Amino acid sequence: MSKGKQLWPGDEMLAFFRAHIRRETAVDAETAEKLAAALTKAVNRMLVREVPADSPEAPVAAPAPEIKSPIEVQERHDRAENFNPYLFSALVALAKHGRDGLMLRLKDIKSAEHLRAFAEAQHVPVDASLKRTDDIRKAIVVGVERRLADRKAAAS
Amino acid sequence: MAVFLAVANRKGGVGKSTVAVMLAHGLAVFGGKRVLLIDLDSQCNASLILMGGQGWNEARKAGKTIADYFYDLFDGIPADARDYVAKNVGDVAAANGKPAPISLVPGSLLLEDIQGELYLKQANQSNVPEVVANRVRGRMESLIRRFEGDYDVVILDCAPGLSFAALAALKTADKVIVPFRPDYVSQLAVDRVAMLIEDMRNLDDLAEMAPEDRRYVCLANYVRNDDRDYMMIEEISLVHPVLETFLPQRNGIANAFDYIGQLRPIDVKYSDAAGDVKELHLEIARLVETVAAKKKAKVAVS
Repeated sequence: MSKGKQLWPGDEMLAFFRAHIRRETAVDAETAEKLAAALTKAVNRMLVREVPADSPEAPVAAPAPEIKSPIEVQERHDRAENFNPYLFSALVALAKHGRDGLMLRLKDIKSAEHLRAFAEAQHVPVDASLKRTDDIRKAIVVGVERRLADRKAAAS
Repeated sequence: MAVFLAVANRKGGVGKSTVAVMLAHGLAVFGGKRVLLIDLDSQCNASLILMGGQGWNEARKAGKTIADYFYDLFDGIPADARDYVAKNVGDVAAANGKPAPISLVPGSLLLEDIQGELYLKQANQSNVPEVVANRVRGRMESLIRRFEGDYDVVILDCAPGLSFAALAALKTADKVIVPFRPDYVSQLAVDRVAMLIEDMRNLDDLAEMAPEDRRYVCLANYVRNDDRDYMMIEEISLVHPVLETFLPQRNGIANAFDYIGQLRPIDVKYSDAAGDVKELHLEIARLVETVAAKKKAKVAVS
């Protein structure tokens, strides 16, 4: 098999996965490292090599991959990085404006990625299996209610 | 009639001593007030900032510390409170070039031991722990109040936690300044100390109390100029009154811990944080004036 040209260097890919795993999961550092290495290996095999057109092993009609190109992935990652998860305090919004008020503010955050970043920054746990933005918003509201109750309990 | 300001938080590392000293400098230099700082923290940081290691050591050797004061006077031995006061301490000059009018009752490493001893002494007179504890605290409170006559402002620099001395300071204070770091754990610490000061059982009841009626006000310290910290301050403000002034992380504040034993202008001492000291002073001076006016009015009525 021809090696082709590597579009996304392995060390960058490893760092990318490592950062995402650490941010999105609660696994320990060793497991995170193993997962990141395994993903790097797997993705490196299937996606990030540009097979030369004249190669006899080039696929004739490869189906479009589900995963976006590394550049698109990186751009999305950068957008999440640029999002300010401290724009407002969910706790204050809930205490002052109630569930509906908080939900209304959360509607301003459009993507699941940003909602997750927001929840994480504000110490609100959200189940990683939730995919739909509305479900994540509801989980944030429940999580913030729990945080408020937590604060009251800690003070009593 | 002095205004008593306690600087307190059950949590350590929030900058209580730094704030206590900054307040003393601001009130004495910018406000021209006669200030007494009583160091109730056995770490003695405020004493070291104001006297340096040698000065503090001399006070210890001479038996002129807060622990000596409590111990000597606890049983009513007729001693003068003024004997335990070190005058014109610090390395900051007033506007006239003379030492800023700051006095200090120096701290002592033995303060905690002394409190234990005083408790045991009182325990001979009652076997109800709460009664004994209240007696110790009450006696300390009355001893702290003895300094009232000679100063405009008495600043009580409290230790973290809830020692008898800290509880006595919280009871004595006309206003408690609660410094906090803008983080999650500090939020819980502020909630707790606030409920203790106002003698409340839960946060909802406290939140209903008008901010102007509260005996405490919070001060954000070590603030980084980012949205995360501002968000935490907003979360604290949800329940508590917070001063408009906040203290950022600055070298000038960290360096002001150094005692050089030579008078210098306040702007030189605090360098890039001199503006922060001035701003803090302006807000606290207004607070002090309000409290002083209320105290005078109360005395006039009674």
